Amino acid sequence: MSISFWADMLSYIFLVYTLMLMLIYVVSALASYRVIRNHVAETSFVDFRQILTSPLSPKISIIAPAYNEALNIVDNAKSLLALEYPNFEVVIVNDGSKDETLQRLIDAYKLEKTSFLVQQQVECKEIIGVYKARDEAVSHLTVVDKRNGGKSDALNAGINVCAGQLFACIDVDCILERDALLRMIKPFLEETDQKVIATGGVIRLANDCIISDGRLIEINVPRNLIARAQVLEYMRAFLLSRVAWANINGLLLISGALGLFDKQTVVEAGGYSHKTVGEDMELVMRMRRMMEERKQPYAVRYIPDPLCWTEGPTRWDILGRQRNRWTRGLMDCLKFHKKVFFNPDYRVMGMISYPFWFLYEWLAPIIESLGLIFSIILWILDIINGSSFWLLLATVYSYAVCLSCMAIWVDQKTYLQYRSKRDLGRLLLIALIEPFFYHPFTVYSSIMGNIDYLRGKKGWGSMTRQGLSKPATPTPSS
Amino acid sequence: MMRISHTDWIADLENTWLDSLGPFQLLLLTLVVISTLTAFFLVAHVMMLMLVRNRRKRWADALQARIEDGIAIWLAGDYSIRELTSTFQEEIKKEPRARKTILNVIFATSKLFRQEGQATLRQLLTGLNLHQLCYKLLKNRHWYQQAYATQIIGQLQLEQALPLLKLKLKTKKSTLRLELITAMIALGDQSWLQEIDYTSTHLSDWEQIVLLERFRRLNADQLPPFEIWLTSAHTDWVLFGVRLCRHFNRFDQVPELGNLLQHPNIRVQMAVLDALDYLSPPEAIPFLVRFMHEATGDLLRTTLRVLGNQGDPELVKLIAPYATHADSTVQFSALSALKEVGLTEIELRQLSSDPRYIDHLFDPKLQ
Repeated sequence: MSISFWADMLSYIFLVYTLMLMLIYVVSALASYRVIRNHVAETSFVDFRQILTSPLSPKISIIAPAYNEALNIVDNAKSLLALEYPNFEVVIVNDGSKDETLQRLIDAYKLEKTSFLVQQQVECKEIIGVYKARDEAVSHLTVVDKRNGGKSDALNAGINVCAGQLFACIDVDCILERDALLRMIKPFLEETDQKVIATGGVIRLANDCIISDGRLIEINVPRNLIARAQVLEYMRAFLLSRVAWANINGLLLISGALGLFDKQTVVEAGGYSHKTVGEDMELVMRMRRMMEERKQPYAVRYIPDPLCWTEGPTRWDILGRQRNRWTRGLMDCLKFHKKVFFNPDYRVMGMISYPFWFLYEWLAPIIESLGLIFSIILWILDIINGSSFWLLLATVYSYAVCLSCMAIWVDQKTYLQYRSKRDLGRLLLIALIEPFFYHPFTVYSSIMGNIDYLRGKKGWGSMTRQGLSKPATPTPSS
Repeated sequence: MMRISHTDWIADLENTWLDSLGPFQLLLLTLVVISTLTAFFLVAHVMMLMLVRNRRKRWADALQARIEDGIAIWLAGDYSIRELTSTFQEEIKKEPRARKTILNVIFATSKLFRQEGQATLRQLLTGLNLHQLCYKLLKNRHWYQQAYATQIIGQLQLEQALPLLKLKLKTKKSTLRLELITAMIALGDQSWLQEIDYTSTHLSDWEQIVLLERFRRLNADQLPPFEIWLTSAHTDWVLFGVRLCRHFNRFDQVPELGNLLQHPNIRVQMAVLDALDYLSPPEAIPFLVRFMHEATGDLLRTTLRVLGNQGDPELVKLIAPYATHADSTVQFSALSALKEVGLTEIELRQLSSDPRYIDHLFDPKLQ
């Protein structure tokens, strides 16, 4: 058989793969829009204050691991303590910080070490002390001091100390909407036929937004192009994809930045794993596997409301490290749970979600890179069908822009987060240029993640942040 | 001319581009065109939305201000209801869309009034024929329009809509169902209670929270006879009945609640324990003691806590054996209960094998 025959065959494979991916995205985008529209209509009838006064509200523990966060820890704790919910506690876990994180908290809230008896329900490193405040006003604050063991270990320590039926794991430097807990609790309360084991919420980027006293005052599209491209990327991921996955109960990932979990199920599943940097996804997959194996009806839900604002990387090196870590985490999860791959015993998880993550989340950057290499080889051998190549590129580009426009459109039709013409213009501009500079970089980082994984690299790598706690712009009168 | 050039273009495409991937080239070209046109359409729609939204907002704000002014003048006594009605009718004549805005404002204003004020607003609503708009919305195919109309009907007590509300009660949309039940309670109709067995075998915690909040606003004589739910065949309704007994201090239901500790559903059992803990009647102790000997895990821990909260020194000898239970969490609950019953730190240290439990229990910072 000739080279051109094999070249044609490979071309067909790349083409079919691309078309399948495009089809999946379009179906999921349309399904997501339908779900979000319904959710927004339903939410307009909901008075979340009813939960505030209800004796039926279950207790929620917020677990926030902190490592070397001395700069902002007091402000962040203040923001968490001010959340709206009738029955909650905040558990900040100092994961062996080398700076003054613990001391700042002790000073700010006049904390005292207690004789708190820790029930070791899930594995974690030694807890040195549990601190509570003297002041009644912050009696719902608990600070745990422990030996350094990483984020998953800190979360496990928090699970061992917390008292809520449900716990929310959050990144301590995130800004939560005041009513985030009220909104996230609803799916747990709504189900009667199945147990809701976890709920996720939409994460948005807060770069260049105005924040004061731990509250988001004004939403802006970031000036930095890397951050701006991430805004669009998050909108596509959260508004056009995850909602649809949750709708078919196929969600495998609840972001580590914000998730609400049923504590009993998490404890029975063994808590967060220390063996991976993708501990958030791994936990959800393990919980789902456990429920499937027990044949217990369950659901993983998702709230499309923007509830959590976080800072995105603004430098290529930090972004690269983040994406590298995400890829390694994904590979761990796929490896640990390979048993479910096209296994009908695991229903949606085994037949749809896992194969999608394998074929289209993990393999996509690899296939994309191989496609590019393949095209270069064909070019060198002078057997490329030039028009097909350019048409394929044009298809992928126009489709990417179309998908970004759809994300912007869904946002405008539902949550209307970016209201000004300037913000809209910025988003549209980035939708046009992002496929040329941002997307190739994320593919490159993902490939490097694969290589690092095969080399056995572990760990998070340093994630420098600029910090979100900017004061509000003072008005002339002040 | 156009047709010929289009054909030429395709022919040209086939001649110059088509080889073994020919059909796919056409497919790709189609995708490029579709994606590009869709993107253009979406962007244009977003821009149009932005313009229309701003214009509509300005119009709606101005109209709303005029309506609110009109109602304020009427409340001050400077307008009769007839004058107010004719003012609003003029607005509707100028722009029919104003009907929805007027309805919204009347609905929002009605929430500020009690019965007497609402009667006048109802008169205004019917005078403007807006009650017909409510009925029309109730027949709308979108559930959220129906729910909105139901809210208004309940709030302004439009009794003529009752048969329509009853028809809708079979809906599977829980938000609408809650609004229907609330509206029917407001209209003094409790026939929905009979409908439950046929339509609402499930009642989620969320629905229970919403209904409880709405029941709390009612007078005692307006409450539904929720004690009958304690014997319902549907677990969710038993659970709700137990929770309502707790909330409305139904001490007379303590024996029934005690018997419900034998219910097969753990959520009902936990709710009963919570109710008995809250009501704390001495009659509950025999039920709790009997249940303590049968319960395990969470139920046992909660039962020990509830018994401890009873504060009866007679219970010491019954609880004390659990202080050396094989499960450390049960041990801790038993020691905690014994502390509540009145045992001193020294007595508890004698009972417990692990001093950390006692340190925790008597740490003033953890109280």
